[in-house]
Amino acid sequence: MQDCKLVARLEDKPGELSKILDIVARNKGNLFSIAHLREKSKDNKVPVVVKFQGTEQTFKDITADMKKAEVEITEKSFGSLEESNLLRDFILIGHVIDTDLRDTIYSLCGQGAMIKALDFSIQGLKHPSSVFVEVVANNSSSMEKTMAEMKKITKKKELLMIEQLE
Amino acid sequence: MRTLKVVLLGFGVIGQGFAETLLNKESFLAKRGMDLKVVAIGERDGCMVNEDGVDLKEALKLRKEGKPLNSSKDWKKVSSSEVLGLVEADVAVEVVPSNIKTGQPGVSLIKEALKNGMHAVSSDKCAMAADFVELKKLAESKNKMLLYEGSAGGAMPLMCLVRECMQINEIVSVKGILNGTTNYILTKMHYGNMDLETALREAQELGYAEADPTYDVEGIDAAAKIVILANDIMGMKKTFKDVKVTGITGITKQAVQLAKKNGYVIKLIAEINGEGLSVGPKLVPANSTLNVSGSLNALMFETDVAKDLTVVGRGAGRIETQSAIFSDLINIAKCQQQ
Repeated sequence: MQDCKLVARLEDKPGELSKILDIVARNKGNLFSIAHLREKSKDNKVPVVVKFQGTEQTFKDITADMKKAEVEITEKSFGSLEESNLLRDFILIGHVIDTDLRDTIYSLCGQGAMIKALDFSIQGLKHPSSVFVEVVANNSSSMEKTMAEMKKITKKKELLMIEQLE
Repeated sequence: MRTLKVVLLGFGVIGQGFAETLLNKESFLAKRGMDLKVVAIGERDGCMVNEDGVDLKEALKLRKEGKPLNSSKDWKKVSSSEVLGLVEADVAVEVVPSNIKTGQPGVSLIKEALKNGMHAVSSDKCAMAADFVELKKLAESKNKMLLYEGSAGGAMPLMCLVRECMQINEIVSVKGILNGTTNYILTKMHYGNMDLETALREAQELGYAEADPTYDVEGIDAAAKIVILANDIMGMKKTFKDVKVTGITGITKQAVQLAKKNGYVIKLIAEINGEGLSVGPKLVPANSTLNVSGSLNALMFETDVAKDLTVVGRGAGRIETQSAIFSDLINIAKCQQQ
């Protein structure tokens, strides 16, 4: 059993959601999450994220049945849900502000990841600052590139980086 | 009853702990058919030697009174290295403090013991980390046992656990806390909101840290231990130079509190994984089994069959380390009986 994800664009009217849920249930997919992205609705259609567990055959059958039922699928993934929302935390210690924090953040984002949270503890310019950083990436390759870039930056800017234990 | 004749090399903190434990456990060992007899104690400027057994009570009394061992009737002006060729013994217990770079004098003493037909037990991380491969090779060529459980992890059974109880497992990675001093300091910074200098001073006052804490706070002590574990458990051929080491001296009170606010603790983590060997501060989730407080140590094995397995315990200590040393000695005694 693998994690599966489908994003379907459904008309915003009663009965549309049950149509795709029936397809998942009929093919023995183990549904565990459903979410409407109403903020992204367009042309009276709402993207709906459906997450379920199933075998590769289950996934194929479900996507085929949806196609037959004329459900518009904009995104699908099999076995890669764990990689869809990778998070990594670390702390930087040193003259983080003095060494151009904006440049540090821009360099990180250039590698395909995004800064999800920043938390500062600043004690004045003479003392080293500490910054807690939470990075989010949608695949492990982007995350690895981002962390490798971060290590280069910390070396160049003489910052101490405390990574999260994996 | 099987008598195991022992040469004790070193009579510092661990050496005295050995003598105390042996005296306390004499009847315990006798009930199990074992008699451990110390026939020599090697010191820097000479040795106490007695083929019928050195008077351990006398040696401890002299130390307690701050007197040198040379006032004993058993004192001989021979070096530790020489005494290994003079006395007849089954095993040498090497507990001298050695140099981290050269591993001396521990390396030479272990080699001398093996060359003189003795098994060797060591709790000397510096010697074992400096010349692991050569020492093991020599022991093998002499058909003697060289055991060193106390050299990495103190009282925690680590190498013997893998050797005896986890044979089917492939070890994927090893990570954890192998230095009690830095763990004490980081715990104080976390819960006591102290800066590093204050926490270090407190550790020194309580005897958890040496007057010169460099080996501990710079990660050198943990690095030596992870080298031994990598070589023993994972069959590597590493030395201290192969470890990427970062100490805790750059850790600020603010960083520790930021970690706390976000659900982490900062710990000095020694690690063996696909990237190699490293020692450095890491963010450890507060609910991790590696989040142990005070001077405790903890080591997690990631394996293919048993999955994650964590051992927690005292990584050092005059008496605590004897648990590992005596375990090695008893193993040797049992093997000799077979």
